[in-house]
Amino acid sequence: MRQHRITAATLSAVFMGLGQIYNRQYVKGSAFAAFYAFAVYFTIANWHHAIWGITTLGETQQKLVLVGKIYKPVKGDHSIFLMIEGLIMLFIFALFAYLLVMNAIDAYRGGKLRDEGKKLNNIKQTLRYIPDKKFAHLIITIPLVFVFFFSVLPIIFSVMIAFTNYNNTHEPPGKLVDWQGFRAFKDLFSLSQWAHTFFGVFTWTMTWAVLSTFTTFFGGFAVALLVQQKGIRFKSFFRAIYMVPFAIPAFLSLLIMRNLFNAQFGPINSTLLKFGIVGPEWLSDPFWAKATIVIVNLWLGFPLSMLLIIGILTTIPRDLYEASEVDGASAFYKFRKITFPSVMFSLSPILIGQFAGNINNFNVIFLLSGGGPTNSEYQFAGHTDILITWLYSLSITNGRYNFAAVISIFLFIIIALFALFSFRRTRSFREDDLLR
Amino acid sequence: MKLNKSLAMISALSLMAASLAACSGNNGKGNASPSASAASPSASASASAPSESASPEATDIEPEAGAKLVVWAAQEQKDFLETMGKEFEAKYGIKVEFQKVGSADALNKIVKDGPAGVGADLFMLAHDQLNRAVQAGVVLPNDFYAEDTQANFAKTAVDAVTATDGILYGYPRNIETYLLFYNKNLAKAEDLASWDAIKAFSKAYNVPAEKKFGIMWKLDDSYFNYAFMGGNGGYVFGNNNTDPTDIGLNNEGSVEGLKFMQSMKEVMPFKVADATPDVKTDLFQKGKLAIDMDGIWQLGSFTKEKLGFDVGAVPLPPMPNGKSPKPFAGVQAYFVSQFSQYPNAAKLFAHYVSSQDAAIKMYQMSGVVSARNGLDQDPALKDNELVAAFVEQFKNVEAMPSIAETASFWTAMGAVYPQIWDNNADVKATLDKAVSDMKTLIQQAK
Repeated sequence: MRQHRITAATLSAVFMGLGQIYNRQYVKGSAFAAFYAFAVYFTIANWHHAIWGITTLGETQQKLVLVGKIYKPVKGDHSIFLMIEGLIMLFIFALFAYLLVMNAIDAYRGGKLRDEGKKLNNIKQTLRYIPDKKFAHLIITIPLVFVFFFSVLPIIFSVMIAFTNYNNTHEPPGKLVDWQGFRAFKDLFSLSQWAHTFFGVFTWTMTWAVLSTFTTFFGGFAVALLVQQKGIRFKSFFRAIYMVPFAIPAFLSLLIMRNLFNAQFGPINSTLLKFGIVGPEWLSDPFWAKATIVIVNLWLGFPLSMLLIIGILTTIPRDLYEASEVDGASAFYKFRKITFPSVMFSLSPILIGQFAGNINNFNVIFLLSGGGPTNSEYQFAGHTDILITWLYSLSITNGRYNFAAVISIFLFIIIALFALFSFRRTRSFREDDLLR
Repeated sequence: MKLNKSLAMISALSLMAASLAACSGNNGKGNASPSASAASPSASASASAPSESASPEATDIEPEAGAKLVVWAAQEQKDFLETMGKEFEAKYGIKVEFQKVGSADALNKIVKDGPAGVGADLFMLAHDQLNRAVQAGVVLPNDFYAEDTQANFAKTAVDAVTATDGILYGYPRNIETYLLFYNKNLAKAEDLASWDAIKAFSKAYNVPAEKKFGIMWKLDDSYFNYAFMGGNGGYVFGNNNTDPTDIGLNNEGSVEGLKFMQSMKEVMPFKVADATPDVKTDLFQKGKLAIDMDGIWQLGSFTKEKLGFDVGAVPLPPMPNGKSPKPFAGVQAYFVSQFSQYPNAAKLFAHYVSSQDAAIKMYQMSGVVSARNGLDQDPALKDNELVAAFVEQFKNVEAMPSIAETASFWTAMGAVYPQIWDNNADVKATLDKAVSDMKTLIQQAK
């Protein structure tokens, strides 16, 4: 009598629901069996087209046929649609397979309960059991489906694009797209111009991410400390003033900044000239363009850090400071030993988030310098282009979707690795309890 | 809980999955439905081919029964197109809906929306995107009205909307080019008689500290700078801009043209990146800039009522070697989508908004001068001095190249101007580099 679980699991593996029926869970078993019939029918009906679509990406090209005086379009295959449909189908097939396995496990467990002489849930109990004990899982299913269709699927899709020749000379529906393996990867790293551009842009991206994160963080930190000083009056007034850059929509202030920093006609250099200083070429000199972007980003970004840090400063227990004063600690020592660690404990995950965000900080670069000044050594990129703006000009402006996909894969890997590594190292992630 | 968080997450997920298996029936359906909806658009698109064809004797194409149209165009065209749409509806019973999608965005949008069955029936494109649109299979030829279009529109415009396969696709609306606008309070027509005269005038007029300048244009843009190259015998692609293997941007004429442009620096003391269109137009409107090289799209805003001074315009005058610069022209045209469910109705509407009467109404409502032949003789436009100057300039323009390889031209040439203008680089060497870049780019797109 110890073989129920094996029999049930085998039955269920052969035909979904059979094991459950064998376990005398008739309603559940027949529901499973009905689903299985549907799944098998669905798979048989769609398998061939899905596999053909995703492997060939279409075989008939769309064309026009002249009928008398009028051209009639004759529909062909749309490679990208075939790719997406095939992808969705493959996922559904995988889901069926997964459910089949889970159903066999369920039958095995049922059989095990019978082997142990326990009673199995009847259908009423099962239906009550799910919302009672598995409520969280039930609820999380909905966002999970959304995450799947709006995050996971597009990511896989864009990874697949990297292995095709999808660009503006192979553009569906008029033209078919073909798989071409690692050609785009090879081109990116072996063709000297692309490789040179990639490494140049990559270096600046990382420099920019480090600089922008640290300037806004420590800028905000400094302002927060100043505003929270004991002697300062009208604290809320200053806080409000410093929040202004944050309150103005960033794209507006960036467009205004772009005109302010116009070297010849902008008010900044005109003002400097009145003091006898010839201002730098803010946006046309490669070095100054980079500096300008960092400065403007500091102006845009410090209020958020300031606000967060003010919030944290108020939570640091006063008695820590009082005790250290009794021990004769200097102001700097107090900052180094009390203020800074407390702030870092709470803020380091946010700092990492900001760093990852700055790697992809499209707005500032795109609106302020547009990637310029142009660099004649680069392909489709300027001195201040970061990977994400380069990606934009590759895909949107120049229609090299496959190259853009390759770069986005690298961006994804860089950011994911970095974020994972740093988050795991922060103390607030490792320890749930307070700092010691 | 002292568990590692990611581990906890994974176990939670698998638990959930296990419980899903228990209630699998409805979950399977939930996942299956998106695929069904993703498949449906293509089904509806394929069902769209109408079967009837118009009799060849009819002067107008027979629109489909129950047709309704969606038209994409820029915001400035809204009033005109909506008015025409109402007239069209009254006449043929076909409703026309306007949606704001400018000609710069239309192609990228129709490539995605068209196959999904939600795109416009009729949209505007600049002619330089035509060959990409044909390659991408999103436009229908202008077949029914081909003779009518060829007979009634300027040859430049008709040629521009004919793709390299020799088929006419577009319904031309207007030709766009640029010339010299000038502030009549600051400069006289004689000051613009030649580029030498412009230089002399600017030398006397420039006061950089007060931001007073004789002449400006958008210096980083091949669209404007090409005039000097084209006027001296340079060209982008050989064989009327259709042969991507023959690039004429570093030939003698091109080099001479850009050398002349470089020589303008003595009266234009600013960097390429600083001469933005915002700055330039602002200075002109404030009466500080005397001569402004700009396009026909400024006709509506460069009026005495808006500026407070009289504006004149002259075609680009001859350079010191006696040749006149040859500006690029762009042709804005209507195109019928290949995904339209009512292609005949769309063709009919495209024809309707391009008629002589419509052209005059368009000029009155939006200041756009149609590319129809003989419109310059029409009393409604004849008296406008600025329009007359553009009509004169149209006699010496070159339609922008429109083959797919043109993207490489814009990209590679963009780096040239800061080099030769800001850094005084050698023109020939810089252009040689740009041409070799273009060749690489063209090679890689294969």
